[in-house]
Amino acid sequence: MSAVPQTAILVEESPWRRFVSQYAASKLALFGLALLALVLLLAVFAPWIAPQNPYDLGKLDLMDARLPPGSSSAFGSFHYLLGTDGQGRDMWSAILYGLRVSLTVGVTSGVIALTLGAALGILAAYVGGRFEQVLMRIVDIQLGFPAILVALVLIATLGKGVDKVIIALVTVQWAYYARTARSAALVERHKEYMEAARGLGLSSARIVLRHLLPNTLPPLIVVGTVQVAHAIALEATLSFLGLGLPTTEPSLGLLIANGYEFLLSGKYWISVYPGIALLATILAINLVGDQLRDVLNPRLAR
Amino acid sequence: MTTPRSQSTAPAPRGGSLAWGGPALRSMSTAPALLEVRDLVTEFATRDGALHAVNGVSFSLQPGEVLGLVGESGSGKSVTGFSIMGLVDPPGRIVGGSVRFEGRELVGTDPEVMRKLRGNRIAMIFQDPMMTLNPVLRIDTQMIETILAHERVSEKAARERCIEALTRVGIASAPERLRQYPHQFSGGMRQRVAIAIALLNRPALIIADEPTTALDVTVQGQILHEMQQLVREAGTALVWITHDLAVIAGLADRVAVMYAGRVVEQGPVADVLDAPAHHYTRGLLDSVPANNTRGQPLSQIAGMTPSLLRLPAGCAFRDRCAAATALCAQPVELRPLGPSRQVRCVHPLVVEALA
Repeated sequence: MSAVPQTAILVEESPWRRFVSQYAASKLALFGLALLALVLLLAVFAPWIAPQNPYDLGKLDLMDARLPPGSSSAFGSFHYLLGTDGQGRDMWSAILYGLRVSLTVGVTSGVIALTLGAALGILAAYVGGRFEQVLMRIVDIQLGFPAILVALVLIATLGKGVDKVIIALVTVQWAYYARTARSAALVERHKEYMEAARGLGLSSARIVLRHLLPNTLPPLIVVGTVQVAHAIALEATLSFLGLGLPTTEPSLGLLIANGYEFLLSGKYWISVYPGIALLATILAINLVGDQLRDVLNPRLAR
Repeated sequence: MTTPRSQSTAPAPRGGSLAWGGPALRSMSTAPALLEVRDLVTEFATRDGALHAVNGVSFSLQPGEVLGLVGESGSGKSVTGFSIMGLVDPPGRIVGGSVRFEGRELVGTDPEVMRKLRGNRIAMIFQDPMMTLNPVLRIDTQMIETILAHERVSEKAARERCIEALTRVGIASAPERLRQYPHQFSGGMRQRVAIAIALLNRPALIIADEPTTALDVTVQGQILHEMQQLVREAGTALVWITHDLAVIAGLADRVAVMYAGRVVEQGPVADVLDAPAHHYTRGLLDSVPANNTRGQPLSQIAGMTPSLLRLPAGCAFRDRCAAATALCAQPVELRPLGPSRQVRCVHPLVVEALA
């Protein structure tokens, strides 16, 4: 019985390598990944890359306000690559810092919403019964409201601030994660290995954390990437409407809003460049998310 | 209680087309049974009412004994196994009867007590080896956690035991194989791993739910052979759930035939398969392709399994039975037939006791 050839089975590509090669099969997805990496690097190293600290009001000069891209400062030799905004702030620096804020808010709210939603969703699938019924009806109700409306109401009640925006974004998004986690966990729960884990006398906590959770992660990762992009867009929307982040911490949405009034007078750069940065960020995340969905979805695998 | 299984092949009266290499008749001892199932009733709440998947099943098992639980799909054999394990999920529930294991009542017992028994004193092997191992966890993780769930030992000691267990089921280079994921194993290998996991904590009873059905025939043969040796060495009792009579013939000491949630016949494997007393068992045996003549249409049991929601009163098999009379509409009890056999039939094929 030990004569069964086993060496042939040993030489097999690891799941990780297969994942990498499947992901790399799409040029567009690779481009998205590169773009996302670039955006992340710019955001992380903004203080070192940015020629100007856009928050330091002492460095700003109103005489330099609304200069077109490529012009130099009225005093000294400072070069404004992407022009300046209404306060004479260097747009390139403002965009880098804005990117930082937008990504921080988007990713933080995404991670919190994922943790909360996944925990509730998996618990609902595992426990079942009334808890599941009540929770899923709450999810349905939550998803029935337009996200922007919920966020607006919350911001109006809670007030402004980074933490308030994150609370609003989590409130809007946890339901997506909960629904995805529950459906994934329901599928996994009825697989035989779950029954086998119970047959081995493992504790419920161990079954949920070690057996159920890892198997529900792939769809959650996919939803996560898409939802982070949504969170960034929603935050930009809120900031654009003047309900998001405080002006002392301008995100991309606020930058776009700042230039809005000058758009028709030909000073396009104040709104357009932050807009391009926002677009590139969301596009990159979505490209990566789409490819992840294709790779992680076993039904699409050939 | 160790009974050597002498391979004294009783001459097969049916031309020997199926190797009924029957194990020797087990002497009925008065030793306390390891497992005692009495009038077990498990029902599932459905939209059309309560469905009795298991409807008064009784059997008992001595330590080290191998019982074959045979029946077609939907006869309740798997649900019986799950009921013993306490793994019946809603909408199913055990509504009656008793399951005594090592003198302890399992029906209605504390879930935590059941959890401690599972994987420890009672282990289960499932049908599809492709599905019983968690795809995202390495083999060592899954094996070690099984030990640590029931015992306080060091991880190193647990790993040693895992290597030993894998070697015992015929997996070469066990230390390396332990670090692999389930997808790196073939189907037969995975079932060996599942068997190794079941044997890890030296259970007194293993419930095997069609563990070889999903494997191809050659691997099936190997696994059966190994399984037989392993339980004999360890003195583990085995309930082998299957629809494959050939498997039972070679493996089991005793056989219980289930039909529509009830045991219709049970007894020593050689007796039941050589001279079935119930018409359903007879029909099952006649349906085995090897027992049919080449060129003739395969014989089959007429009709279909009755719906468990609308079981006829009396014998559930009577609508399909050639020997059925008006008497069969009366409730039938499982009656003794000789010292070691029982049959649930008013017109049994074997009337007088063999002894």
